[in-house]
This record gives sequence, structure tokens and C-alpha cells, in this order.
Amino acid sequence: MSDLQVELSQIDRSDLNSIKQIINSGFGLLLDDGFEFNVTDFTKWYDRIVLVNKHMFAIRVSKSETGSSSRSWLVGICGVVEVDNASRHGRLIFFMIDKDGHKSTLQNHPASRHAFNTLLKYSFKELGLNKVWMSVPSNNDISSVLDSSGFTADGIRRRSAFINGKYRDEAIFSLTMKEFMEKYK
Amino acid sequence: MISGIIKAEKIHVSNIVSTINRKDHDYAIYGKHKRTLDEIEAEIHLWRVVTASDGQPLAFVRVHLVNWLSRTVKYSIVFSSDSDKVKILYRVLLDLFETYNCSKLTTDIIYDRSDTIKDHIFLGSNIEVRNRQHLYLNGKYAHVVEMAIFQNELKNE
Repeated sequence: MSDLQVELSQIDRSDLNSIKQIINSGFGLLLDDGFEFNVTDFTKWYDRIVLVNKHMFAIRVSKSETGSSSRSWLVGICGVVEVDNASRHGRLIFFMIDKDGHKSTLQNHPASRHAFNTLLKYSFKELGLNKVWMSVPSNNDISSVLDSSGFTADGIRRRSAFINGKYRDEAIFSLTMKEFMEKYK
Repeated sequence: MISGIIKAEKIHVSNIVSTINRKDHDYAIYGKHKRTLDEIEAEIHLWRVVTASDGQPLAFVRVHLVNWLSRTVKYSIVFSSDSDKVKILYRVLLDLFETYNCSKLTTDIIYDRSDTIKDHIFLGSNIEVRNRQHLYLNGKYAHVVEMAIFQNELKNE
């Protein structure tokens, strides 16, 4: 009998190899919101984004099994970036890493729902944000998950993401604190 | 009368603030984060000035972000008068497309600035995103409209 537990923790340098898999998924470019991002400057990404931005987390899953010690592994990263302290909003990023046999999308991984809700609570209750927003490639079926989480579609940025050699549209979703409190009260 | 000169020159922030004495334009001048004048001075090279034939500034343009991957430039523009806004905007858009060799220009406009939004739409811009409660201004949250235009969508003034 195994028990799966999910937690958010700080990203360590030892996690970089696992995170590098995101690059191969084609979504690595979205991590840095427009800055040049490739394998060679991956360490710079860590120094600039993770060390400076304290709101970036590793999603870890631990499994405790009867008669043996529990082990934990990294299944994704998430965080709040582009925090606007004056207007109290921030952009959420959420990436699952396909390491333990699950499809790398928010809706399919068993840990994702819990991690995403934890990130929302952190954004509203600890950071005190008034609104969080996400940008996702418009062909990503993550929108159904965001809808069920109370997010509202604000619009589509045409050809704003360059992924795998192609321009893609980005859909913008947002959730205000009021909507969050009504949804999760 | 626009002389057609668009200068990317270093100018004093104090001149900008005194020239454009409107609360409405705080957002465009200071950006999302309320920054000090010294902080703006540090990136003053990003400002571009549209001047009239008599040398008077008609508008100021600031480039917020250049995304070389998606070839998108985010800018904001502040007009010092209400006359010739469409003409000035057209010249600025042309200049930005040429300077940055980009395919798309985006800008944020506060939701209730309907005249400004109409001017952008007149030149071919489209409303892409309506960011709810995106800006804390004058004690309350305001919606912000994100407008974008591709190079092939730009219509002549």
C-alpha cells in the first residue's frame, strides 16, 4: 500500500538535470518569458530566475511504502513571476516533467491538482495578490483544468510564442482573489 | 504640424513630467511599477520623442520589452496634446516596425480610454486581451486592454 504525498519546495541546483527535460518538451521557452533561453545558459537561468525570484518552487512527490523508507522525486516546477506589487498581480507558471510515466500536462498528473491548488493558496493568502494570470499555448488542453479552477479566459495573444520553430497563439487566463475565495471557501 | 522627426534621444525626465501634466498618463510614464525619476533616467534611452516642426514635443514613446524570439515589441505612448494623435501614432508605429524589425507591436491601454482605443483600432490594431483588475490607479483597480498590431495590418492614416 503506497501513499503519494505532494509538496512544494525550493529548487536546488541538483534539480537542474531534471528541469532540463522541460527544454526538450518545447515549453522551455515559456519559462523565461521572452529572454533568450537555451542549454548553454541554463545555469544563468537558475541564477537569474530561481535565486532572484523567491516564488519559484519544485513540485516533489514522495511515496511512503510499508516496510521501506520513503523516497521523493521532482515531477515539476511552478511559481509566481512578474509580480506587480503596486497592482498586486502575478503570472503563474506551472510545468510538469514527464519523469514517472505520466503525460506532462497539468490535468493528467496525479500530483498536479494538489500542487496547483497549493500554488494558488500561496499566491493569494501568503503573497496577498489580488489577481493571478497564466498564459498557455492556445492548443494546450489545459484550459479545461483552468476553467474548473475558476479561471476566466481574458483573451488570446496572436502568434506571441515561438515554440519548436512555429509561432503559436497564447491564451490568457486570470483568477481574482474574490473568485478564488468564492471557489475555495 | 508634424515634421516627421522621431528622435531616440536622451531627454530629461523632468521635462516630460512638466510637459505632460496629466494624471491619466502616470501609467504610461512610470509603467506598471511606480518608479522614481532616477530609475526612469537609467533607461531613458528607451524613450523616443516625436517633435513638431517648431521643435515642440508632441508625444513620447517608451519601449518596454523587445521579444526577439516572437519578434514582438511592447511600447507605450503619451501624447502632449489631443491634436494629430492618429498621425503621430501612425508615424510612431511605422518607426517602431522599422527600427526593431519586428512583426508585432503591443501596447496596454486603460479600459475607459475609449478615444485612444478607437485611434488604435482606426490604424488596424486589435484588442487581444482584456486584463481584468490589472492596474491599481487612483485607489481602485482598473481593467487594462492589451492591443496589438501586425505589420501587415497597419492602415494608412
